[in-house]
Amino acid sequence: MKKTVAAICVFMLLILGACSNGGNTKQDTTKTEANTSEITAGKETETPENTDGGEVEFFKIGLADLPKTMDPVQGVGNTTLRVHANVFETLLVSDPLDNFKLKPWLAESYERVDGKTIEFKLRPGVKFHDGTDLTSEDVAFSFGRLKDETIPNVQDAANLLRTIDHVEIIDDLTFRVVASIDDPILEQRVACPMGAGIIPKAYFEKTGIDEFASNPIGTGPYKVTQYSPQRIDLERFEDYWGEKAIAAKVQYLEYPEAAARITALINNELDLIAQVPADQVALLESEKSVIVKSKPITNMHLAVLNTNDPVLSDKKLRQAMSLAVDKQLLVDTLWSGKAEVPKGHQFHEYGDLYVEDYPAYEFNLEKAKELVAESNYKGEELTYSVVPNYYTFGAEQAEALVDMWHKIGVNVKVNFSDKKDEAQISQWSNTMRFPDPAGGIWLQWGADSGRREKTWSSMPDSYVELGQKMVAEADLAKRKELMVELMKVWDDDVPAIPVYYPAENWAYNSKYEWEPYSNQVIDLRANNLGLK
Amino acid sequence: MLIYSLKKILRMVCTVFFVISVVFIFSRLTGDPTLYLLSDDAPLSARIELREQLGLDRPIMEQYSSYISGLTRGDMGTSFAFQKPVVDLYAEALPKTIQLGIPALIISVMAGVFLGVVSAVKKDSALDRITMVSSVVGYTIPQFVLGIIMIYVFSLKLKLFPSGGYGTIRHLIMPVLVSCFGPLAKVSRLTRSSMLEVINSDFLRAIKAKGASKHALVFRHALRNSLIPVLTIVGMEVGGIIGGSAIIESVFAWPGVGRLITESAIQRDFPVLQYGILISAAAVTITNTLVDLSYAYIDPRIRES
Repeated sequence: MKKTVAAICVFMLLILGACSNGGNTKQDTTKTEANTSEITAGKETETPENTDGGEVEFFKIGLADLPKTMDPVQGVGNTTLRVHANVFETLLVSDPLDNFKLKPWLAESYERVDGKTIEFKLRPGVKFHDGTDLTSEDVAFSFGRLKDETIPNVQDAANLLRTIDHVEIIDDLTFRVVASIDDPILEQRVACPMGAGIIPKAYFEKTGIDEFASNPIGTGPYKVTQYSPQRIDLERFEDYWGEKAIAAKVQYLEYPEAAARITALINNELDLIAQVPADQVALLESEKSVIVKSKPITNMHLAVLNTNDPVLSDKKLRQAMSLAVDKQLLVDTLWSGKAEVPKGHQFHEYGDLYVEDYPAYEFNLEKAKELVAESNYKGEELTYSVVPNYYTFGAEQAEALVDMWHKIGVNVKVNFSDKKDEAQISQWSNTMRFPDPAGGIWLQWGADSGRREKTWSSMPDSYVELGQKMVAEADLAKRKELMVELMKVWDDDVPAIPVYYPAENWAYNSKYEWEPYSNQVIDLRANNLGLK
Repeated sequence: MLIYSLKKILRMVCTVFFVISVVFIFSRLTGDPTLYLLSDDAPLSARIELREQLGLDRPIMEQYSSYISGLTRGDMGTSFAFQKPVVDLYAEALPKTIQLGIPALIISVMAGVFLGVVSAVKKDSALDRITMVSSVVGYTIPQFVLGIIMIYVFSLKLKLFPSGGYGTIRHLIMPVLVSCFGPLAKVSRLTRSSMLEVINSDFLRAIKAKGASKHALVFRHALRNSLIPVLTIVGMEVGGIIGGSAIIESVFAWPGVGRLITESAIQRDFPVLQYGILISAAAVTITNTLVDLSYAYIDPRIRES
């Protein structure tokens, strides 16, 4: 008996000994099998040693989820943007730090030839991560991939850049991007951070699509050294054409649990986290070592009303349901005022195209009740389909909306399922893909968007005409006028109820200076991430 | 004994085959993966194209036979979502899960058996009561609650351990402790009740009358005779280790197979799900077979029958 007790005590002591070994982080890291695991290891409370002359050895980012692919044309979405933007680059950039103004990036200069064509001159000396030079061939290849329908999930990227017909190569650094139609926003399309990243033709042809999706190469300030579903390691690209980024190595780690993500940041195990729940912001703000930044993002949450449904086909009912939603109350209560109520289906990031004086959505219960009385609604039960945990505060918003609709006598129940059902009312979000109505309302609610087929078969002809005119209109003032008319028709027909621009909360270690972007790109370039 | 072993092994193979067949067929009834792989607004033509690429347009029995023939050739399939061989995905995640599970199992079995024996021998003592109350707590407290409490105390307040992540042995301590809490409680309660049953049996009284030492009485006779139900539990826990614990892995940001399996089920990534279930089922059945065979070693009556 004594021997057994002694053996167990020794075992427990070994475990305790193991705990204290953690202080010697160098020893610990050598025991781990992966050569990059030392980035994770034992740096929890050692951030001061992490810096060296304005540079940091490691920069660790905790996210709720990581991209499932590193191929820029397959991975269109917010999850991919947070990583891809540091690996791939586009010809032009819509600068989020400068109100999304277009600026040359991989292209040194560009010039409109005609309505369909832009001539680009590439920046000389730009190298891919394998050391090869960026040439016009690579641009032609990258845009050409969008036509390859055998690439899984290519449709989203192809849709964003759908007007691009082909690339005419003039020499190694000069080429023309030619659209199939007159496209006034061709520049915006090639600047789109989703799908328009330039990749190396030779490397891709050597590796093939599957290998490329795990071991990609771009021209960005960071190259991928390891990709796995739960961790992505990047290393600074020393031959980067721009200013050298401050972090030698970057690690993206999947931290699905918000509490763990937040604790890891407070403990200096992470340097930056995204997707901070609104109710945790105050806690983080009380930490001296942490800075929290919040801003509405280029996304809009909506409740889609399927006009193909016999009950919801009644426009007066849809108008009443829109009038019954107190959007500001939701912004104030769910989002602590950090989200924002939209004025029409538009985004601030449109810049000069944004219509500041467009009327705000009205909240008027009396008018809503009158419209319900005038409609053919007979108290039928409607279903609001929600995917739990998909949108921040999605479930709470749905429950609140159902209650608001009950107040005007419209009977709706929430239906939670793992895939949304668009048969009646469904939750959706619209992300601005590029700062123009063609990358917003017309992309998601245009004649070719699939909406007509799915939920809006009654799309008015006047709406379609206005939209088609708008996307072809090069004159900014006229384009803006057409956009206003388009939004008015959309708002009158109510194919959906815009609820709010959700806010995103980021938090990072206070020793850094960093700015989040409303398009959710986490930019680690030297002009956006620095030490104080 | 040879026939007994062969029967057990044959039953094991049949069980694994049955489990993977059920998972293969039923997972395909839960939804179309293209609904999860493609965006909401993807055109129907894109969905049809992708279904063809993934082989999902073929009749289910045809898909099943090519899956089984792939298994026999060692081809475990390619992930729909990651476009990587599933073996590569698990090769990254499985060692991390085992790294978490084995220490948790060893601690829970050793400490559980020890506490169970002490509680049985010192029945109704303060130690017995403390152990049993703790085991009820351990048995009932959800792992995510315990995990978050531990992060709060040991990571946020005391700064003893990192709150999550993978890399050093310090990252391992909290998830291992949370993982072993439930099984430890189970093993200790089971060992105690099983021991008490044996201690009060006639044969043990006879051995006692022969003048056997207390040590020999407890460990050679009582514990050995109490181990069969404990072994059964251990066998089941091993399966849990391979399947990983999605909850613990999520709370502690541990990159193991639990999250891989859970997310593959949500995303309808059938090859990843199937392989996860395959290795988990194989682990459970192999361990249970070993446990069954060990019954025969522990209890000669089973061997002889």
